[in-house]
Amino acid sequence: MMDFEYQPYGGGAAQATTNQPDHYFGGSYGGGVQSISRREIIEHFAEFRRAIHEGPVTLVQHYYNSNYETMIQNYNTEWPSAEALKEHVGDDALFLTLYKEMYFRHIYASKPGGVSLEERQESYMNYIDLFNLVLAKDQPLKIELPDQWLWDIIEEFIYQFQSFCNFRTKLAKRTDDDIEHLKRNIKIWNVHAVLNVMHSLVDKSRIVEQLEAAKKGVSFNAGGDLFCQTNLYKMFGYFSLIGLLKLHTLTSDYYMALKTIECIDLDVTKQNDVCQVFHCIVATNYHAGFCYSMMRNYDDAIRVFVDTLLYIQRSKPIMVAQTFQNDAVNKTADQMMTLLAICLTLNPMRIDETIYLHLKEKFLDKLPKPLLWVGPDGKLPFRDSFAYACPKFISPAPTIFEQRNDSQWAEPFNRQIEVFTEELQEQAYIPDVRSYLKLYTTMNIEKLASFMEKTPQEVKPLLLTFKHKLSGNDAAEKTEEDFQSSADIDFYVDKDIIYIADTKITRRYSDYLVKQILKYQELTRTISEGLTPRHAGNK
Amino acid sequence: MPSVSQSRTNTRAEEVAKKLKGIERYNPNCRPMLEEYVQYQIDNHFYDFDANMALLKMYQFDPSNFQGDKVADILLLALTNLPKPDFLLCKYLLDAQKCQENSRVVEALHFSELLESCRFQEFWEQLERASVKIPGFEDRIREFICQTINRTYQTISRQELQLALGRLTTNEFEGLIKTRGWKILPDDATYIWIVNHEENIKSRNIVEKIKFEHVAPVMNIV
Repeated sequence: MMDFEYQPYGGGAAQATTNQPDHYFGGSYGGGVQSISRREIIEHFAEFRRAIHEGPVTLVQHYYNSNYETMIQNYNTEWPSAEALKEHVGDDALFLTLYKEMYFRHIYASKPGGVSLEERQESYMNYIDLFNLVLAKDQPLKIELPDQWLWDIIEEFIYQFQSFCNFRTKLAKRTDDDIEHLKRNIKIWNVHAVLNVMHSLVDKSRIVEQLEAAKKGVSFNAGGDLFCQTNLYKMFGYFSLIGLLKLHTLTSDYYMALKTIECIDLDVTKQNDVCQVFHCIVATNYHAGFCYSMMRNYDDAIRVFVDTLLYIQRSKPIMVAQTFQNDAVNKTADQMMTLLAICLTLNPMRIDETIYLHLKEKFLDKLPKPLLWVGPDGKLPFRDSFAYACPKFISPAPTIFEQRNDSQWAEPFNRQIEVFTEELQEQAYIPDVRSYLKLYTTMNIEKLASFMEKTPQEVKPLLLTFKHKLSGNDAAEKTEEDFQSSADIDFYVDKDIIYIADTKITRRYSDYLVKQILKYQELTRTISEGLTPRHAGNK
Repeated sequence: MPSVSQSRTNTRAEEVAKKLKGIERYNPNCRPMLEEYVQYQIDNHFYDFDANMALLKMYQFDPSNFQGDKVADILLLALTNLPKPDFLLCKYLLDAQKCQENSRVVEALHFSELLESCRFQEFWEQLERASVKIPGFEDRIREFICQTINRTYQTISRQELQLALGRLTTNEFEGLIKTRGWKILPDDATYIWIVNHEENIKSRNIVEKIKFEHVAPVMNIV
């Protein structure tokens, strides 16, 4: 039994960072397309440090982005240790902590053979140092960091926590040494500590109050509180809300996940007002949509996914050349498509044409029909689709080290898909009922029963289940607008006859025509500008 | 009398909510309070989903504290909130093995399956064999069943309805019909009129209505 003394923030005691082993000093460089000398690297970081302290934040952003271009292109390049940098830049605790955060991020992303337990521990300690520096002060920090960087810190923090949970539960490959070390250090990457960090950042920034004020259209009165007015803290607070959303989704608490972001309007345009980090908006909506799907709220899930996929489509031309970000966004987009396909199979409704066409081509046909169809090998192909689309669940419970196999690692996913599959089983006959009802305007219950090879007594619960599962939020009066997006079929039972209402929607041409007109207008303008004399020779 | 007890439960709910704010929600010291609070809800015909979820989360974080009976109570309370997906949300947090070890939890899971697939008659038969000690449980389940019937039926046979609503005396049955505004058909007492769906559920042919806002961007071009 885990004996956890519940401490207020600061429980993961910060160790001195000086006794970090100097593994990477004097490592080999060169290799990779452009070799870069050690000297150049150190100078780059010295400049970076100066930019952080002197600003402006756009310069910091520039250095931050170019880090990855210069460093990641040279995968063989080992980053100098913080010790080595210290000699050149002096004892700047804040910069060194920030540097180490990037250093470990690089290790997690690219070290062959995987991250060792010692590295995971050091990285954790560094995060505690970093958040201590940010939070445990009377005055806000004077530096300004780009929002993208702040988001990356929080995202990586949660990611490393997730990675550690995998590490400590995949016991089949763990060495005895590692297991002993894990047993002696259960506070490392402890879930309570992670939650504590997130909540502290949220509280310090009073971000929930700020967002709620914005929602109501009133101004937020900071009342002399400097922290919540500083962008660094405000954005750290906001990103921590998203960090919590992710954390709760990973531990299958969909209720708490959605509750945490209650104050955030999921509409992408509204989110863009607060947070201009593209990847953050995509991650927020992916997790929110996933939570909706798991709690059977298919309408909202579909709406969020379609909205976000359109947003990604629109933003493709301006997606900055940060390739590591792009890959992540593309993967998330595909996951959302898969989830969207699943939700639409369970709850058919009209969605945007362009998304639907893309969905049909690549994703809908990949799903087994029916969803829970069992293959000839006794396996459920649906598992693969779900496994691809879902987040990689973890268990926050303490590891039972005696079970030297991977079952504790596999259990969270197995549990989630088991429950989701049970839900699908309760809905198993709805697609059949729907397809038969679509053929008629009235139908005798007996007739439906004979189609489905069941008795009328068996069919009546199916009709009730159809209504129960898919009525969503029963609005009293549905307006014409609502019908354009809601379910395609409705019915009621009068004595023994089912009366079916079909919703036929004629094709909407106006949107398409307006888009085309604007496009051609833009084209015409560009061409005519190109032809005017003063532009001649400028091509 | 009812208003006094409601304000008492509201105060208690507020107290608990305060204790669950922010990081304190995960403080293991809250656990005994939350466990006690489950019984409080049962005794006072009251339901606090948020607090119950906090307790289930604690069991997830530290499975050695798992209390099968408390989990069963929470699940049964969640059933009373159907058609909301409270029960489903609880299920995702529960350890499958530990659930199987407690017979009341297994029972609750079975109830959920029957109610979610609207096999109401079977549900009442199961309930008869079980011993659910939550006052008001049957009434709240009946409320859910009535809602679902309301959505689905315009007219339903009396026998069908009686089976769906479980063991009620004739008086109770007729009382319920009156309260819900349902009517026994004057010309055929074997059928009961539920609600007029004919008005609302009709085939529609939605023709595109072009709104001015859609074409405004092109007005100055054309």
